Amino acid sequence: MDKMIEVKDLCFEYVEGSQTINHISFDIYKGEYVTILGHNGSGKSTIAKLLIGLLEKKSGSIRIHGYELNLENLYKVREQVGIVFQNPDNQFIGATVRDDIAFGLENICIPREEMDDLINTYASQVRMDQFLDHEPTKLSGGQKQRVAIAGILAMSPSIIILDEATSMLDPRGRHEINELVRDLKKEREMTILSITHDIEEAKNADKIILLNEGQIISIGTPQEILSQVDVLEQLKLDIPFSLKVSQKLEEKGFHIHKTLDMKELENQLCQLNAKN
Amino acid sequence: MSIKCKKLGYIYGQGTPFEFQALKDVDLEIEEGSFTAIIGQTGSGKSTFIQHINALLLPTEGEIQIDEYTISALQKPESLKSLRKKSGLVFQFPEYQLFEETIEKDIMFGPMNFGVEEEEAKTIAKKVIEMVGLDQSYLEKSPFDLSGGQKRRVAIAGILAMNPDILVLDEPTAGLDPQGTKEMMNLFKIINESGKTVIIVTHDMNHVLTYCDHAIVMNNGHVERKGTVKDIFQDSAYLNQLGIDLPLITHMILDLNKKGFHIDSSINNIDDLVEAIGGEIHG
Amino acid sequence: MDNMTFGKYIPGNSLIHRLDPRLKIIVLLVFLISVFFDAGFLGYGILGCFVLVCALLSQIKLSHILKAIKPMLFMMLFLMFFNVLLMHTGEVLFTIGSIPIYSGALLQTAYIFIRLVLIITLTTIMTSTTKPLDLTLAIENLLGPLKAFHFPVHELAMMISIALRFIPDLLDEAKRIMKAQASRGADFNEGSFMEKIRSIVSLIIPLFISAFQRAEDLANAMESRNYNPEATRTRYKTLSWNIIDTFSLLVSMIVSCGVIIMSFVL
Repeated sequence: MDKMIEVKDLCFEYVEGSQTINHISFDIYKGEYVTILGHNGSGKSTIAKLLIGLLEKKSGSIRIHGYELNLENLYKVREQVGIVFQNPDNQFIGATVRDDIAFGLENICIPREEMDDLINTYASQVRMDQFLDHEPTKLSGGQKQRVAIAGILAMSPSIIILDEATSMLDPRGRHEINELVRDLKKEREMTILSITHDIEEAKNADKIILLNEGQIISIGTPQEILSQVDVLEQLKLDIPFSLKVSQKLEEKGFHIHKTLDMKELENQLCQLNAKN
Repeated sequence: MSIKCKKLGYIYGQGTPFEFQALKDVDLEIEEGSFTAIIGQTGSGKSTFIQHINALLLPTEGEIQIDEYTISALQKPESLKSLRKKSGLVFQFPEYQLFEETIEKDIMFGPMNFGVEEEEAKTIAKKVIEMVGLDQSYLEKSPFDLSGGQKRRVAIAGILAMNPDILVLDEPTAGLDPQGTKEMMNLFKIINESGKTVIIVTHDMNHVLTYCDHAIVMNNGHVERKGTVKDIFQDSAYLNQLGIDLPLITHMILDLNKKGFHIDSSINNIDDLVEAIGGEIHG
Repeated sequence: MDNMTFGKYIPGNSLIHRLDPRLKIIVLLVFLISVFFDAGFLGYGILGCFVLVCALLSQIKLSHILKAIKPMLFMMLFLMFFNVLLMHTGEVLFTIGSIPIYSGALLQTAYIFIRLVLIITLTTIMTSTTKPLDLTLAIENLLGPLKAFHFPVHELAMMISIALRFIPDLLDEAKRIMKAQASRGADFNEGSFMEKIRSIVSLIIPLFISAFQRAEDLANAMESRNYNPEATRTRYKTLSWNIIDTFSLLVSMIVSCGVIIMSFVL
């Protein structure tokens, strides 16, 4: 499989002497959906900025789709990676949805004749085709983030990074974005790196990188990572609801198989109930 | 400190081409000492409504009564300051209102605006900084050197320093991580238990279930439902139609009850839930 | 701040809305020049008719235009007052107390009033019928030749359009901070001078911090979408000059130049 992101021994510090990112290494393969999970201040957003060259690493190496990230390759790397940031307002550049999607296309010199098609295609993919001439002040946070995703998709990157893209949204907006991301992975086999402290969101990933104080604690599947209740508690993260319930039931002596999935837990309980 | 609204309405930009009716015919009462949640989708009028509670917005229709103050569309009050002291409003992302060189000065800003002497304001600052979970050594620091979550605490301390009888909070936990969220909500519970009325706008129904006693559901500028938290969460079909998720606990109970369990749907914590499930399976 | 409508774009599809923004800028500039040539009441009559026709074609409500003129009224009255008192041309018509009022003064004052009303009205018509971004594009286009002298036309246009994009957001932010501080007892209207100063400081500092934060986020967002001001970019928005624009240009040139010529002949 193709390695899309290859990070080796990466270090970074904002202030001399205090390591924000401390010797981290990980690989992300084509078509994978990976989540970096950590509490606020764990350094997770710094990683995103390093990956697209908005911050300059102190040491180590970053390779994106085969390109070494350096000054020479900067724009090539950025063509490979699209990133959705946290604040929906501050990344909306155009005066309307249409203009905002066009902004990226102008930057990569797509000919004028092809722009309208691309704009329409990707606006309808994120279900914003009814809003093309709307101004950002008339859109909800979730809608703005969808526009940001459309703007990125139109530039056809091979990797999408979501840097806490849902943390400022209401539940509906969060739900919409999570669903959209799942579809992108399924239908377009995009490589997705999502940065979050939301456990429920992390459950959707193929792989979780657990981060604390700029260091990787562990890497594994959601089942592996999210079952480590003690570790999660120590890192000030939430524990998935179904896991909490199944663990407490287990402590009470019930034969419950610990699970992250609420439906599965309910089924187990129903079977137990039927037995009695 | 009860709050009563009669036919309260608010129109933004009245008389301009951009006119917009944000509130219409709001009738409700919020009891003294309650912990009330205001829920509803973005744009349902929640933020507009809470700004009436300390007269940042004045009604364009109807009236609102807060204790002995009556503010109506026809009768604007002379001075709003004493009302604003009684009801403290914490806006969304309140960390953006910090401006002083030290945290102490920032916290003292509110009380001193309401005529408290400097020495007394300093004493208050010492007290409230600890209430929000930071120690007194922070008082001399600049608010701009703090992390996002700490800034939020300082901003809230600035409102608590005014010792309001009503505390109104607009999505106070937005953007905080789980640990910060839990600590924040526990703080509001303590404040409520000390006898203050707490009103919170939130999208997190788990918080509503765990912490609040009353809930008001808003939709399109109207109050559609009001009642105890228990009653509001009974009608899951209605909430779903508004795009409001049920609290995880209630969700699970309703699911299980559909499949033959008989669990009390007003349970609001995991231990009781586990107890109830256990009881059924054994029983 | 809710009632600020001056200069705000009002969506519509009138003839004036559809005209090329470059045309509108040129017409406005030429009009501004012609207004300052004194061609007597006949000249102002012609210019007035021109503005009236524009207003009718734009389908903008009269009340909207009046709202734009209202804030200027005070300034106009102030100017007129001094004009009437201080100008001593023409005959003495009458005296107020011991102050003589001259016919020339009244005439000049009337001219000033008419000029200001005409200018404000036409400017309002332009900004109400043209999207800010289209104006930016037109400015960039009209300034294009300056690129030859290494004048950063593109950067300037990008700066203007971003400023325009964020003005509503910053106004909202300012309103929000004012309210937040008001609920902490800050008084922006009453209170002593020192209290007012403190209230204003409590608004300005957070506003600046938030604006810098936005600027940083925005720079990151633009860079990550491969924006490079020095590289060549294609353009999505293009302006198209139609026959109606040429026609409108001719008409307005005839009117403006006509008035200028009249002022020399009469």
